[in-house]
Amino acid sequence: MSDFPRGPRAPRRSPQVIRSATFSQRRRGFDEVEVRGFLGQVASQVEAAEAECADLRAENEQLRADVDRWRTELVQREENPPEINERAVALFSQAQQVADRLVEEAVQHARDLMAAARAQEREIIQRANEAAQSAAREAGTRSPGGAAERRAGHGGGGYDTPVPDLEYVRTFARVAQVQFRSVLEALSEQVDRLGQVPDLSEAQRPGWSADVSWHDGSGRDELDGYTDGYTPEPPDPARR
Amino acid sequence: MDTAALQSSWQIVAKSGDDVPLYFYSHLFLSHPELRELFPISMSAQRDKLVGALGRIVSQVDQLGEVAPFIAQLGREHRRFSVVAEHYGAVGASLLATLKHFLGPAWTPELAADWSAAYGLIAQTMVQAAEEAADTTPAWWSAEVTAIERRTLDVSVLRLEPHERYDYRAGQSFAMEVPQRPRQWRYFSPANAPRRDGSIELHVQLVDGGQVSTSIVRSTRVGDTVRLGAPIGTALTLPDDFAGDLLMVAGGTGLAPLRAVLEQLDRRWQVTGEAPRTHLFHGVRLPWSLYERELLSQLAHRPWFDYTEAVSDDASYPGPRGPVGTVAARGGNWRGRTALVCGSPAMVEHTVAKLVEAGISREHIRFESFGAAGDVNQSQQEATGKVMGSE
Repeated sequence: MSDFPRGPRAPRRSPQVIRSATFSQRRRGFDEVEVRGFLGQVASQVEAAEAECADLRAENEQLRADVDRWRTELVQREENPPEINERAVALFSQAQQVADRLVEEAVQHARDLMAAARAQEREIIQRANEAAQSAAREAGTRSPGGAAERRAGHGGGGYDTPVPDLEYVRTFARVAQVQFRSVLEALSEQVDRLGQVPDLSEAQRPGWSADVSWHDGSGRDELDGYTDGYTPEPPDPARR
Repeated sequence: MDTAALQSSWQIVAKSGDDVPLYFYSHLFLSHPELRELFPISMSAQRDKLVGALGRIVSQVDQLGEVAPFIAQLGREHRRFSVVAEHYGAVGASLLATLKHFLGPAWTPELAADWSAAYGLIAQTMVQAAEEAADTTPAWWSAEVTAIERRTLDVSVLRLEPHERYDYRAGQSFAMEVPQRPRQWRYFSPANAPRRDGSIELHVQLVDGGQVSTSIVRSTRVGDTVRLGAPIGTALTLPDDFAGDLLMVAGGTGLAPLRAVLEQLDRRWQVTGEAPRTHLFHGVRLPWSLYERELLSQLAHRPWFDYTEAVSDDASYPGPRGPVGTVAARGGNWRGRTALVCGSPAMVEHTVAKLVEAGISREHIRFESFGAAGDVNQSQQEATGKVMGSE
């Protein structure tokens, strides 16, 4: 009767079984003490190997769990942007507010300058007006409505009748306007590039032709792709 | 979706005022630095628009039918700012982060899911509207500046020639971007009815301190290429067979869309001999700002057209003086007339009030207001309305 029958595929044996193994007796056998000692060593080695194996298995499981956790975190990170740091948002907001304030101040400054210029403009007109009025009073002349030009749609009354001096100031202001604008125009290179002098319409008094020119540089305005069923024709003079 | 929860949480968030959009945009640019360049340097105008648009959407989220056209319009408007479908995800993430920041412990997983679903719906509507529009119209049209005329000290008349066909109706407006001021779009109105050669005239008023109008009046050159958005607006447009009489009230360059409508009426008159009786009041501060006097005086020889000028800041002016709304309201019996009003927001508000006092019913007074999608009036308004994309 033996724990170690000769044969293939012996089952795995625990260190305990190795230590207390018994063997069938034969003539010319080994020294039993030696055999026992050897079996003890083998059993100890198997014991150590098994312990090491268990440690490694535990460590392996720990590592596998770590890898899984990192992997899901990586996927999440790819799907969602990283948490934006609140302090960074606050800092960025501050910078944006500084930029906004600077732009706003520049705009406000420009606005104030323009407003001051406009107030000055009003004041100058007012003063010129008063000067003309008092000059007219001194001269004692009061000419009835000699407006140098008829304004369209002049309905209703209740405005001061202009006096020649006032009219002179007004005309002077208008001429100055036109000259000022001519200077502006001359300064711009647009004229050269345009190849045609812009029409300073206000410089010339309009002739009272009944032709309304809706479109500079083209005789007639016509429709295209604008379905109104009209075919443009010259107006019938009888309808005037 | 719990719409009541959305609305009550938005009310809590909105209490933080300007800090909300400030946080939102900072978060957005930190998480997606590449989006920063879609916006102008100064973000102050931008912030009101975001809150305004979101507030409007959230308050009507339970009547999606009411608010859907507004959202679709926002989506179409955003095309010209080079906003693409991917940007919506970034905006959504920053929006949720912003709500979470301001709601603190009130930010529950359920609320987060509701907001996420609501935003998904908004983004989908915007993207769909943009994609549908992309089938028929470009994101913007380029046009060349072919003429510039400095009509007064602070009004310039520009002529543009779009490179591709640009269809619009007299009385409409569009947003325009000039190369000197990238990402700052401003609304202008063609001052002419559509022409065969496609050219468009704009009246540009220099706005005190205005970044864009100043640069257009001072430094736009013939040969410059500008970008135009799609034409919008219906309040000042008239059908070709419009019946009834008209009262037009224009402040400064608010004249532009009304001039276009007048041209439309005049073409009709030239062909049929008929046009609505129309009285135009043009109001300016000083007499020399009456920059269309010549044309309008000539047009006043037409049997159907009357023209009155009003000057507000020159006490010596020998014609009608005062705010144009006041002058127009007392200038005749306007009962039964349809009024078209255009000018600065203050001028429009004042004029509408005066006309109502004078007995014109409110539904017969027409003026452009584009709400959160931008107020339109030729450059008086240095603002457009959008949530993303450049101004």
